[in-house]
Formats: sequence, structure tokens, C-alpha cells
Amino acid sequence: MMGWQTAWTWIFGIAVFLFFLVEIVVVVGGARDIGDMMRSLTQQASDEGKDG
Amino acid sequence: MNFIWLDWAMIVAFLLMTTGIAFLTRRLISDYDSFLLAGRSLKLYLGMATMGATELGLVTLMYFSEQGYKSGFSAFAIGVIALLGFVFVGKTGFIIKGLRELRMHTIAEFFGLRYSRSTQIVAAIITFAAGLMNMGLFLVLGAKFLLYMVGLPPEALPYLMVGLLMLVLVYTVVGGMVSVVLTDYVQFIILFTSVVLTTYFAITHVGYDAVVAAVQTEHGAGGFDPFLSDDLGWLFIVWLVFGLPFTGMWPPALSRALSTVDSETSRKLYGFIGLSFLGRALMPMMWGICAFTYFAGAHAVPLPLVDGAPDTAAAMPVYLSQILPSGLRGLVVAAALAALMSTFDSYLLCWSSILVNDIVLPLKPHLKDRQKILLTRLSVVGCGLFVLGWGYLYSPPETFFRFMAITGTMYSASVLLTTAMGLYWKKANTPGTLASLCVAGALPLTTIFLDGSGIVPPAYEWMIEDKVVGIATFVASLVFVVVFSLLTQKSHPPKVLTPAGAGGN
Repeated sequence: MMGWQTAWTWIFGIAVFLFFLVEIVVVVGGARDIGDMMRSLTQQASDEGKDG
Repeated sequence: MNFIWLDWAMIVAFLLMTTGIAFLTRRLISDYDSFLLAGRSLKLYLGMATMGATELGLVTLMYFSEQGYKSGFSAFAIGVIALLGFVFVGKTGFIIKGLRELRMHTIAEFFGLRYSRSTQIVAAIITFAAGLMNMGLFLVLGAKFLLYMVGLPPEALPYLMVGLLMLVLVYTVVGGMVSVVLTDYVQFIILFTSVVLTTYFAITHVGYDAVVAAVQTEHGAGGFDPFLSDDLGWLFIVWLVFGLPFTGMWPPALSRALSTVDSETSRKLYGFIGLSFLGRALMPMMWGICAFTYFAGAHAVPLPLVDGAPDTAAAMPVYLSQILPSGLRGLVVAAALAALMSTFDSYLLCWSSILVNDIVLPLKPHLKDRQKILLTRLSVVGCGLFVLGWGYLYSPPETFFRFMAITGTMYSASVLLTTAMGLYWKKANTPGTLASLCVAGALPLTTIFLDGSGIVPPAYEWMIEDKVVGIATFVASLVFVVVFSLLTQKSHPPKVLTPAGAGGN
């Protein structure tokens, strides 16, 4: 039982660290991607408008 | 009432921001692709944000915390298996890479390409039914969380459910995928931050040593060893391992993979965001274990009752309402609303797109984009009303997580398993796939509707237990697709997948 308990404690610590890491990476990278997506969709919408 | 003005101010600010985004992005919807898949312009990090926010719903927090409350640390095995599943899919691109290369909108569309139109419709119906039942508990669990966190009377539950549904319907119907993606990004930030902060407060209030001691006292070795757990056990672990290759392929998550700019981004998406999935499961489970420790103590407020028994799903929100400081409580409820909305809107949009793309369109292929968008919006409203009724009337026999797992099996053992066979086994054909879809689509219904109903004699009740049915469904599905395909190779030669879309964006 001690073995399981120690393993879960370590795994929990790793889980919190990875969760936080992913958050930071996504927040920074996502802001850049939003700009790209909005440009692409605005372009698409204006092309559709010209076509008819 | 547990709230002060600061808590309310945070919630109002959050709601104004998300509904505002939905209205502002409306002009960007130029066609059906931009409504449903954001014009297939999702890049990696935004894809991760939207997938992370979608897959970390309020319902996720609720069912994982309930599982932690009931199983102790043993429940962590569920998160570890999910992580292994994501690593596998992220490394191999299993199923997702193939579907993205074929430029599928939904998974059922693949059945039309690889098998036949009737197979596509059957696969879509199973996906739709499993998905709606699964989503049926979102509203009731979300409303319960808010009810106990805010401190409203239990009679307010149905009104809260209706209010939440209206809120989600408004901006899903108005904005489509573009607003869903943008609000997901904002919600991702609020949500992930709140989860980490709440974990800190949940553990420090009772103390980690007290948590371990409480689990040891109440559950014994089964509170740590999942194979010895009364609630889980080795059958449950085997069942989860069967579903491991299909991790993260529930259609709303898959729709994110199909919305990315290319197939390589789809694969990377699973690899990166999968890293957060361990925490997604373990942190709310820890809240549940901490709540268990709190309620085992002498100074706890009473746990609410349902039909005379303790409401285990209410343990976590009641605990958090007692321990979180004012201000943070408002932020956590705003995050919970974010979690509910980001999941619920995507799921509504996803099931509606399946209804339109895979059930209506094969029968009426000449619908215009405007008609398809209108039909999707109407079905979003229809699905929402179903969820309201189902959530209010149905109570799962085991924990909420286990109900999610059996509805997930209904989909993965039928639709995903036959998709994998279609992609990787040349001999898979229409009769084999139809046989597999029917058996795997029907078997889980036995546990969903019969378990706990009292209809089955006690001596045979083990046969409809979710763990047994879950394993049997995977095995039967595989046997049926292989045997029936091999038996009908001459009468129904398998279709060869044309690589026309392969490699494209």
C-alpha cells in the first residue's frame, strides 16, 4: 500500500506541473493563432461578399 | 447564500465578455465550413486551447471529483490510462491522421466513403444517441455545482438548468464555431488557472497527511490499489484499457482535430494537450478526496441527501463553498460557467452537425449552405431541450463517471473500432461493419436502462453490470466485424479507399 501511495503522490505532482506547463504554452501560442485565424476568416468573408 | 458582491461582479463580467464575442464574430460566418469548422483555420495552440477548454467541462470536474470521493486514490488510475491513451494517439496519429487526410467533417462521413450510405446513417445514429445520452447529464451536474457553490435552495435546480441552457443556446446558435473557438480561448485561461488555485486551497484546508489517513481508514488498501478497490477492481481497469486506443476521440474532440490546418497538426494536438489530461482527471479527483476527508471529520456541514442517501456528487461543491475565500469563490464559479459553456456549446454543435451531415444530408444531398446552417441551429435547440429533460428524469445506477464511460463505450466500441478497421484492415466490408455497429450500439443499452431497474433477477444482475457489459461490447464488436467481413468477402467485396484527399489540407 505504501508503494501505491508514494506512486500516486509523485504522479499527482507531475500532473499538476504538466497541467500548468500546457496552460502557459497554450496561452502564449494561442494569442498569436487568434490573430492568424481572424485574418483568414475576414479575408474569406470579404471574398465571399465580392463573389456574390 | 455564500456569495458577496465581488463574486457576482466576476460572474457578470465573464458572461458579458463571452456573449459579446459571439455577437461580434457573427459577421465572419460566410459559409457552412466557417460556421462548423471555423473555416478549417485552427492552428496548433488555438486548437489546444479549444480542445483543452472543451474537454475540461464542469461535468468533468463533477464526475471526476465524485469518483475521487468514492474510490480514493485508486481513481487516479483512470487519469493515468487516459494519459497513456493520449500519448499513443499523439505518437501514432491512430485514426485521427487518416480522417484528417481524407478531409472528413465528421467521423460518420467516413462510413459513407469506406462502406455505404446506410452504414453512414447507422453509425451517425449510434454516435448521436450515445452522445445525447452522455450529454444528458451535463446540465443537471452543472446546475448542481452552481446550486451548492452559490448556496441556493434545492428547489432552484430546475430553474438553474433552464437558465444555463438558454445561456449556452444563445451564443452557440448565433456564433457557430468561430465564437466557440474564441470564447474557448478566454475560458481556457480562466478555467486552467482556477483549477490549479482550487487544488491548492482544497489540499491545504484539510492537509495532505489527513487526506491519506482518511482514505486509509475508510477504504483500506482499496483506496490506493485500483485492483483491490471495491468500486473499481480489475474488471474496470481491463475495460478502460480496451478503450485506451480511442482516447480523446469523442466526436467534439475529434471535430477539433478535423478543424486543424493539416493532419500533422491534428496529431501534434493530441500529443501536447494530452499532457494536461492527467491533471484534468487527478486534480478534481483530489478535490473529491479532500471533500471526503472533510465530511469524515467532526466539524463538517451536513452532506445533502438524495432519496435519503448522501449525494456524493454534491460533496465537492459543498466542500469548496465552505473553504474558498470570497472573491476566489466568484472566480471559480465563473470558471465553472466557462467550463460548462465551453463543453456544452461544442457538444451541442457537434451532435447537431452529425444529425445534419450524416443523417439528413445523405438523404437530402442538395441542401444549400444557408439551409444547412438553419437546420444545424434548429437541431442545437432540439438537442438542448432533450438534455434538459433527460438530465432531470434519469439517474445513473453507478457513479456519473461510470455512466459517461458506458455511453463512451457505446460509441468507441462500435463507431471508432469499425473506423479503425476501415482505415487499417483492407478486408473490412459493409456487412461486417453493420453487424459490429448493431451489436456494439445495442449492448450498452442493457446496462443503461436495466441496471438498477429491478427487472433482472438478482442472480443475473452481474451480466448487466457496466464493467462486464463494457468489456463484452468491445470483444463482441471486434469478433462481429472480423467474422462477418470474412464470411461475406465474395458477396460484398470491400471498397478500396481512394487516396484523392490524402495529403491535402
